[in-house]
Amino acid sequence: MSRVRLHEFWSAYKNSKLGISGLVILIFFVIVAFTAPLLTPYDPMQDKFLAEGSALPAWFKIFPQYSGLPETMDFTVQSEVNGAGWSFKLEGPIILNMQAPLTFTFKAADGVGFSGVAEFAHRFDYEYSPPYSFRVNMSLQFLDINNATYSAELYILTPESDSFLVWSSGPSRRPLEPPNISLDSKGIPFELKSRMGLEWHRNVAEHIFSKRGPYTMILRFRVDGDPGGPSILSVTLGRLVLHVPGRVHGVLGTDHLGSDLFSQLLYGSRISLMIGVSAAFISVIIGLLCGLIAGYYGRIIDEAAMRLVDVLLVLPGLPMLMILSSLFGRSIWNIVFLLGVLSWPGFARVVRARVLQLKTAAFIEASRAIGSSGSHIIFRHLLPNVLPLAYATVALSIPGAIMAEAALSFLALGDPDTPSWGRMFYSAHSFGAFQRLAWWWIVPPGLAITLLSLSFVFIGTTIDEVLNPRLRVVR
Amino acid sequence: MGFKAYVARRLVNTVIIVFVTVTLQFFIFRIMPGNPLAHFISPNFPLESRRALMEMWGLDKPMHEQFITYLSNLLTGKLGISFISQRYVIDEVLERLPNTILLMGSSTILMIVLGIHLGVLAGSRRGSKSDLASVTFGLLTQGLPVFFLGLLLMLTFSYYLPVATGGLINFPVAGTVSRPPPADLPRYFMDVLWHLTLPMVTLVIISFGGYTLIVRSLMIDVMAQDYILTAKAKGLPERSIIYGHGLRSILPPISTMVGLSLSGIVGGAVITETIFSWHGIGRYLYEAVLQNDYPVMQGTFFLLSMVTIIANLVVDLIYGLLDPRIRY
Repeated sequence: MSRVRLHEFWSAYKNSKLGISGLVILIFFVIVAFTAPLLTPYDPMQDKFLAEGSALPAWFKIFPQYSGLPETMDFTVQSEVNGAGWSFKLEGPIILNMQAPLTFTFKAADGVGFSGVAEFAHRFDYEYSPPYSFRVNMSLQFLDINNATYSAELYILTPESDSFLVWSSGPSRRPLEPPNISLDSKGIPFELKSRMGLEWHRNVAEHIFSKRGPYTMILRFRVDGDPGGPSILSVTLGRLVLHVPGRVHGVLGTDHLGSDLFSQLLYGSRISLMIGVSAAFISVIIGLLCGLIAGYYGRIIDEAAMRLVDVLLVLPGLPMLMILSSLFGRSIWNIVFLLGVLSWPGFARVVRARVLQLKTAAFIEASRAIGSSGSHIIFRHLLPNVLPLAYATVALSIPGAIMAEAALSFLALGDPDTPSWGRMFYSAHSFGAFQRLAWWWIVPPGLAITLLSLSFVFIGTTIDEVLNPRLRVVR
Repeated sequence: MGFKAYVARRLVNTVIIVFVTVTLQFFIFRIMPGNPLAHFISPNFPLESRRALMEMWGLDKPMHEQFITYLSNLLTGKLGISFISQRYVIDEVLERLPNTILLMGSSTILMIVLGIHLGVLAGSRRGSKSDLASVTFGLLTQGLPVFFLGLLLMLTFSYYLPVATGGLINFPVAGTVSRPPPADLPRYFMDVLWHLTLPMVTLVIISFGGYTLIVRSLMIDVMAQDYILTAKAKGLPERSIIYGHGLRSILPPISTMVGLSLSGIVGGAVITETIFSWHGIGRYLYEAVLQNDYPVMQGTFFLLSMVTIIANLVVDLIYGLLDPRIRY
């Protein structure tokens, strides 16, 4: 379109409320698609376990019954002696090197068996209702061990002074392997659970952190030197990290893997726009070519093309898409290609009908009379006349492509590596969003698909009314 | 063109479409990368059944012979053996076919009746509130994905409302009939109807808005015609003008529209059957795709396409009956 006609088009388009509202919605989604990384700090697929799986949205905390729910808490105890680090208690022949990182050394004299205890404690506050789980990580580097037996234990002391043993190395004469404490409250051995007085199926985290208030983390080493040998044990403490996954997270909570649903919603607009637009372009280009060629050349070409159109119009599209995408492989580009290749027949029919009308027009006859070639007539004379049909068709076939991709992803037949709105539905449907009545997991992606599709319906309808006035409803 | 000639042309056309469809299917499953044998014979089958299947599909023969064997197999209902259940695909499919026809048939009829009725109402009272409402609704459903609607209905009627009303309103989450099914016939019928409601309503809501829009614009065109004016001048009652003269003359294009929407309804039915765990062909196809059960994929796709092709033929024949230019 030349600049003048574009200007004319716009002045007619902007009078349509429908067209303008479609454009506004579309621009909104395009902005979201481009600025997604600025709007959310999380990666929609890579960042897992940001909080507990299926966490509630953070704003639920304004309601009193949810106000105490824990937020994700990462709590570090530095390897030093002060407020941010440990307080300590030593018994027996143990010396502590106070410089960070903390190192304690047990040394026993020749021929005499000695015992020693090194105890490190840190107080912290827990101000939420009980969490589902917690994890503790800490590295312990054994510098030296000879003729000594040690056992290391990790306790959590509650505000009511109940002490719970959550981890134990057991008596050992060798360095810890692997050299760290790595503890998940969901994987605590039955033996420790029964020592806490819990049945095997009970939740340890809920039991330990059942009260709000000051808790104490206690790391305790007991060392026994062998009778006879010179005994030595030297251990460097690393940082201790306590991780409590939140039961609330972000704007829309998390999915079953603890990924951020809000970022999935934002990033989903990219794939929908990309697939919708490119599939629509492919299908319109195929439809244009097929309609032009079949309409202009007629006879056997026309007959063959129209039978193929009949078949593709009759065959159920989604089942065909499901089968083909599973045979071709489930990548985005395969889906775009298949959507484009399967959805052109309707438009080809329209183009063909228009070409059949135009073919008898005087300017085509004239062009043929002066000996223009078929391709010249098709691309120079026929194409510009059917192109106005194409603009609206592109817009009007995008919703179909968007919804088909979403349907495939919902059926878990889409690209597994891409965040998409259909995938959010899949995870909601398969991983318990319904049992939890988690409407915030189900409604936003649905509304997003609906709004984006509608914006193209509105735009397409308006373009159609502006460019093809003879199709306007007779008043 | 007489009605007989019209029917003959439609029949020939249908045969061509069936032929092209099965040919496409033949090539899709044989041209794919990898061993085509893998699409027919599971490596887990015992040696004798593998040999029997080789022979049945003629997989060791040249392509053109395979094609003829393939055609005659399809026509005699030999669709192969499922990789997963190791039963004949045709048995499995026939077991599910009545459920799919029940769901698709009932919802198609409902959406046609509703769509035509609302379209006529809106088109004959242009600019009224009911017109505006149907146009808005019709436009909105153009952007509504079928799985979103299905899941919303399920969330509302099978999860929220049972809790809110203490089980008074409670629609099933899954299945075609309760387990165990009720023994006496009237209760069995009611039970199936109770399971059918949500998937059927989903399909109807998704589709009838589009029908309404098309019927409405056809109706607006027709009401501006001279013969309607004549009918009004004769003093005929409005009802008979709208239905006897207006609707009567747009029935042929409506039947074309129904024919064109059939393949979309099948796609919607696959999703609805999956969401509501409806024991039908669509869900069976989905399970087969998930498990790479190629013989089932081919068999169900063949049957689903046959259902739409035959339904299209029926629509074409009805068109012939409705259009006086063809009938006489």
